[in-house]
Amino acid sequence: MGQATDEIARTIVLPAVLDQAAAEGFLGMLLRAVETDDAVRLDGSAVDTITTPCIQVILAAAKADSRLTIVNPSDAMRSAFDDLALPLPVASGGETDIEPVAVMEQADEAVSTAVDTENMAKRILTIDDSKTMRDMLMLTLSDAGYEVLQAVDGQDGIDVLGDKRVDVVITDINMPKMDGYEVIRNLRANPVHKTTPILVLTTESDTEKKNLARNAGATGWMVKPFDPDQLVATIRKVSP
Amino acid sequence: MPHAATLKVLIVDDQYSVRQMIRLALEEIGVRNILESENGREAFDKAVSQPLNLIISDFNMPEMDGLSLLRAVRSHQTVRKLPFILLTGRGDRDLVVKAAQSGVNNYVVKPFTNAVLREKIEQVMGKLS
Amino acid sequence: MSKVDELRNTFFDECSELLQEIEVGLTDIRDGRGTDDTVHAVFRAAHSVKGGAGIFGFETLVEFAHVFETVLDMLRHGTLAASDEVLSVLLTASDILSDLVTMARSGNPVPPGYDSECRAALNRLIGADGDADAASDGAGAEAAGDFDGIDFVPVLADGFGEDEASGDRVFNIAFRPRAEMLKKANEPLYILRELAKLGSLQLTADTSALLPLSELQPDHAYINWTGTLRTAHGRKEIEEVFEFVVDDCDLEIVEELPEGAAAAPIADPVLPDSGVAIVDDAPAEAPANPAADGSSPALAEMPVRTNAAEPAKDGAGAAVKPAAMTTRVDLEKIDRVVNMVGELVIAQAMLGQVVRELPEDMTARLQHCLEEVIHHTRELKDSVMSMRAQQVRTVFQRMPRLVRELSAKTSKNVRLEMSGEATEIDKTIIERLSDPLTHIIRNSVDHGIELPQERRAAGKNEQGVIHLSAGHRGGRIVIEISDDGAGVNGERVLKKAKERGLIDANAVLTEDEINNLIFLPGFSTAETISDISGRGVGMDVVRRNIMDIGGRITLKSEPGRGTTIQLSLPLTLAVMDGMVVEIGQDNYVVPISAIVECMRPTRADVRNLLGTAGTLQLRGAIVPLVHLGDLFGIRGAIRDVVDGVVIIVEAGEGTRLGLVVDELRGHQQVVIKSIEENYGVVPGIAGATILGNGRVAFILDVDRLSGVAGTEMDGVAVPRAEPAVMARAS
Repeated sequence: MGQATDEIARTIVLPAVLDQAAAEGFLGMLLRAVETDDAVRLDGSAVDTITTPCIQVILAAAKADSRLTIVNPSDAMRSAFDDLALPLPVASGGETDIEPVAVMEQADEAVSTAVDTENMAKRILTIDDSKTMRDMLMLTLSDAGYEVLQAVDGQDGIDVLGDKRVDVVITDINMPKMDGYEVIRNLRANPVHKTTPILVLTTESDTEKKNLARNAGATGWMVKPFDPDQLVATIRKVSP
Repeated sequence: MPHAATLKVLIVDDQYSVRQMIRLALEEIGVRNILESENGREAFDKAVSQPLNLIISDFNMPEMDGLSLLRAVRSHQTVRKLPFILLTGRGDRDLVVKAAQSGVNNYVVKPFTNAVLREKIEQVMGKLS
Repeated sequence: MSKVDELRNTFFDECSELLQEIEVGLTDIRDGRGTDDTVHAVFRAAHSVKGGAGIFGFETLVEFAHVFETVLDMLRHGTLAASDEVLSVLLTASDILSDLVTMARSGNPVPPGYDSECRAALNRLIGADGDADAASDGAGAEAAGDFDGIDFVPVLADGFGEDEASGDRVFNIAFRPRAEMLKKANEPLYILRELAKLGSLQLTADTSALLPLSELQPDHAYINWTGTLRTAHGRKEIEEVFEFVVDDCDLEIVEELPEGAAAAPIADPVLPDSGVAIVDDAPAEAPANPAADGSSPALAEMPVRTNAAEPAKDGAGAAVKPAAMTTRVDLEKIDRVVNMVGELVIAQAMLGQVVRELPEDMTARLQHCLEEVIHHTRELKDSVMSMRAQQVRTVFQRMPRLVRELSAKTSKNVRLEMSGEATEIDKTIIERLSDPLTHIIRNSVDHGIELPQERRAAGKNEQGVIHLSAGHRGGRIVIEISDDGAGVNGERVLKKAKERGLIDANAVLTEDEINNLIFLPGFSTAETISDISGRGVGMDVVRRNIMDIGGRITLKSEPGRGTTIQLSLPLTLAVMDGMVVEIGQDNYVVPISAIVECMRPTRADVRNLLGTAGTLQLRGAIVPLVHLGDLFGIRGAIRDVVDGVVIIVEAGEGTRLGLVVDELRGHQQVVIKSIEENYGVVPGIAGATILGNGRVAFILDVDRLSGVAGTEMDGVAVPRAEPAVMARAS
């Protein structure tokens, strides 16, 4: 659709991180944007991380308002759409010279506080009542370049975490005070941690425990005793 | 030319020590992904529930012997082409004939050396790298 | 030890169980208790021995096992009847097989012709033409490896062995995430990127399910994908990519096979009877509804099913053992844990001590916590001990063969019955039980059970019975060996004992005391030292062995009716309940299990006898006193009995002693530490321990104290008080 130079357009500069946690706020924002009469432009130059939930929102928005376009998509954004075989509703041809008429507050709390990108190292919370296991995890993970937070049981884990985001939570199942399943349910009920990848530590033959953990909301599992390379590979699987 | 390390092999024998000997032999050859079963029925369950590249099975087992296992595998749509090697003892000539009729890929006579086992596997899977 | 050596040992362990199965099975068949399953189980056990022997290269064993197995095969097919003679040959064969295994295990060469007699007997059973088969099949005439004369061509598996280019496989994949998936933080983008790493992926997305923005829920999944992956990897790697999400999405992975072979469904799989049940439980959908594109919907649900072995299906196969979850652990590891538990017990006792010394008001909660700890430690101790516990069966199971052989040698007809084989005893005790038990049973067959004609004359059944039983009683293990033989000939025993100067010529003994004379060293009533009971191994050695492991042995006999020998053993050697006592400045520990009663005597109760510590009058019986202070030369111990405490203990053979101590200090669990390792054997002392107060205390060896104290009065064995009258101290 041709762009008349005087058509009002709202440009929304997309934040760096559009992960599942950001999805709700993002949805709200785009809903409001699309309801106005203005054409919506999403500036994707700052996007660093974007995943399916937010992509779904963008696509749904594009459906709702066919004038919605993405300008200056970052490489990360492009490749995300590519890898998902989804069409990126890019502006056709160089619209980049149109000045933003209104820069919408990108601050919906959830969106902006996504992650502090100042600290580049990924943060992992390990919860296990066995000191040996905690030590092993610490060793493996810090060697791999992760920042590790430790907790000695379920309750401790919840307390230590508070409302601070981490990239991955690794938890044992059998623990005093609060077992792994409780921890997972607890985290999933907290909007801050609702979408954080959680891995449980389990023994090979325990299909039942794996299922229980999954039902409680675990993202995946790691088999004990774990191979360090395997552990890191699994973490990368859920949080690349 | 399959890489030995990528092969997933299931060993079926009701004796622990025998399974371990076969495991040792396989590990010598470079196989890393080795599963074990104690009887034919359990082996069959494993075979249909996950992808395998090869079954090495003894004949003599409780509940379901190796020949029955072979037949069950050959009759099941998902795994009918699963490579199957039968372990036999000396004096089991008839068994081998029957197994051949049921579609076994190869057989190995006990006792066997690692070299023999490798050769038998390669006759079925091609040269291992 | 190399891996192979370890496995070889494991094989021998397995053989023990297999041989046991064979023996028990054949015995059952012989006694009419066998079923079809029994025969199959015996055959399979023999076949397993042969198979394993084959793997490990024990030629003789393989060949013998092969012939044995052939006969068993005939038995189970019904071509051979299970007559008494046949079973007799088979039982002998079972013994020979067992011997061969033992020889193989110890590395000893088989004496030439050792098995030939039995083999000939087996071959005779196989029959004339069977002979040829058995000989040629077993006799290693074949080239190592293949069978001659069979036209066998190895079948190349699909997708293997061909060339590199078409080494690639093609998979059609459909991936439909469900809401649950996103809720668990599984991200399709990451998954699909992982998938793409496996090869070259052509992906198509379907967004038709996307809801209008106002209805959209961010954590629901509205997009699904289909794709084709060309990869050198296999299905397994692909499935691994979806490992975590398999339950929360619809997933199809279908390989495109060359020549479109995928589609054709196989009509009604032909399975042998035993296999039918499986098809019901394993992916039921697959054979039943072949989808047009040959996809296998069952795969999506795969991980949850079929993994667990299903013992419930065992209805048909009765010979299958119930699947107890077991694992192999080095005994050393268990022993280390046992030691650790011991240390824990000590530490906990010390803790208790400290707590007791704190002011009352502070300690209520602490006490409570301590009780918790004590409780858990006790449970831990019991659990750990039970790990080392083995069923008595392992020792008992050698006895049937022993009895068989002895009966044959002595021309007697003896049957062995066993009960309580499942009773568990600490491993350390079990190992030392074998010799004494063997000897007792030998005695029973040799001296106890009479010859068939004698028995007939006495109006008894020609077949004598020996009953071997084990059970728990009063915190100890009781093992009984009783026979219905001739019993102990009291007169002869008494005569012999007097002749050998073991007792005074004028002594008057009760029947029980007479019977127990056979435990005295140097005693043997056998006219000739038969080769069965052996030279110089008398009942005194047996008693020594039993006492060495903290046990007691008693004998009861009825002339003409039979003899019963009872062994009473402690549950464990390492930790025990003890009564701490004070003598002078020192502490000693008396095993609670030996204590009958504690009391403070009055002057009237005590009698002094020259040359001894005196005796106690207790409800009509006389109990000799042992003044431990004097015995151990402890300074500062009380002198007069009435100033102290007397602990009445049972000191073996039903005799009682009164131990004189200064004061009782309390009851606690103690860990027995051996002093032999560091110091040597001290008569009267069983070991040492560390008390809660941190001090070392010696543990008394009550059974030996009577010997040490020299309480035999005038050569007469100390009289025993009536057990019924005495109340046990708790």
